[in-house]
Amino acid sequence: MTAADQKGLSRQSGYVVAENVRKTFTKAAGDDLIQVNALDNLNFEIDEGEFITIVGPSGCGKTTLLRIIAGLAQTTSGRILINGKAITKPSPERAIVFQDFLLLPWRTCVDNVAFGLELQGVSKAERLAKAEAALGLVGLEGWGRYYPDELSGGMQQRVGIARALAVDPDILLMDEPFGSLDAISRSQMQHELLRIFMKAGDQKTVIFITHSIDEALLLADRVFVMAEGGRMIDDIRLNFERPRSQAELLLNNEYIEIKRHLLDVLQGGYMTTPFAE
Amino acid sequence: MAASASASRSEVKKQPPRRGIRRERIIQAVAIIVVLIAWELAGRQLGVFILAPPSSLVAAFSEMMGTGELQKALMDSSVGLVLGFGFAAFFGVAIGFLMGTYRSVATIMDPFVSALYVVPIAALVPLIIVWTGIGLTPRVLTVTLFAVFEILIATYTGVRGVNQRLIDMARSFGANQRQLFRHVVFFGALPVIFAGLRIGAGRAIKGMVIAELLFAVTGLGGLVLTHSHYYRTDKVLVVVVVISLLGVIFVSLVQLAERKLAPWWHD
Repeated sequence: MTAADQKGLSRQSGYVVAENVRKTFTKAAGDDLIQVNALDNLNFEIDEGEFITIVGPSGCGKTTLLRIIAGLAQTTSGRILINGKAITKPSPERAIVFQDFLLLPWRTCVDNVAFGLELQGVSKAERLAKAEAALGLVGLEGWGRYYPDELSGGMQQRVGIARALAVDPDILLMDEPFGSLDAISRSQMQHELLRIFMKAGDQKTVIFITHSIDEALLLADRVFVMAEGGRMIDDIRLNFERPRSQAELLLNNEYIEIKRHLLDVLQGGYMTTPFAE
Repeated sequence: MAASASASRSEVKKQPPRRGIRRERIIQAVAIIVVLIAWELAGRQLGVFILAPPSSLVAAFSEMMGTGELQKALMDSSVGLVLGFGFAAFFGVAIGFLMGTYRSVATIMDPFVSALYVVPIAALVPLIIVWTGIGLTPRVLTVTLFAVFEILIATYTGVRGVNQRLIDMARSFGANQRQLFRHVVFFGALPVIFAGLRIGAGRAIKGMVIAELLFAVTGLGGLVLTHSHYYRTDKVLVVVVVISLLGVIFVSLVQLAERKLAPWWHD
């Protein structure tokens, strides 16, 4: 317990800490086996309740990083600590929302949402009540009895988010959750997520991977920028007021400046001078 | 929660339209009638010994029902069929799951399964007689051997084919090995297992008749043999029709079980 905890303050420094995190894969290149860096010496700290987005080109190691935080993959060297404890395996304290939803097609939506609770041995009545509440939170009241393939992609992803929220995780890990949605559903879901994020009273920490600079800037307190070879090349703090909207941000000079910088970094394929806050 | 109203009922995907089903049924009925008429005409030309026409089957059918031989044969056959298929389903699914779950089991079993799969089971019948005599046991064993490999291989394939990302998902929510199996692998493999059970059911019917024809003068196969000795083509054809109906009903029962146990699945 830190002093901040005892005073009931939710924000605690260094809630998620990455120390020299490195991950290499062995790859076949012709007849040779070569070592490829998926993550190259990452160091960062995330505060409790922060909304982090991670942007970077395909294959820059974003998903690998998320899998390590989830406990689904191990680092080659270095470690990631949560509340001072190293991650060794998955835990319901860290729930993932996947790009391809990964709902169980043989379960109705409410049973999908209750899945995590069921694994924990929560009684049927209690887990169904919690699942219904989570469905309500994502705007899917009354949809529980449908099978996933009876819903549209956007609705399936709401179910995926509800499933993650139902276990009441401290950290929400989101792997390009809106990447497979059409533009309109996507923008709708971004606002829903912000609404949910602000509503969840105990301020969940969110780590959100995206390809989209606009999405990263709309959602985040901080944007981590990654580059090929698994390097983290930038860490930008955003101070725009919440609730945010795309339309208002477009009038904000600071937003425009940051967006230009990110376009430079990510689309130019080279690194400009580090962005000064 | 105004934004939540965006999930309107109209977002639900429509089920595939069932139009055209009635039309298909009518075409099928017409085709069957055409074949029956052709059969009737050919039968009258060729004579009842060579090809008994359908009209003569009705009389033959009631004669066989009158003596009770048809019911008895049907009962005999069904017992062998259900027992044989039951064992095939049990062992096929169990061994398939073990092979799909444990690499070592797959490594050990694979040569045996591959070898037995390609052997015509009918070639094993003389051995089966040597081992088990000519009672119910060899018939059950033959049916089992006919059906088990389709089921086993389907189960193995189904377990191996379960979406690895669903397993990751379940692990991320804290599933242990037992829970992974019960909540993900089992259901994930179920549609493929049922495909194997359907094929296996069809093969079980063939195994049943072959067993009865080859060494056990009993059941429907036995009836075919007996009546063909007396050139009662009409009675032979009655039995063939009964076998075919039994097969259709048996496979339908498997499909019914599939709809009950895997209601989310529609191919």
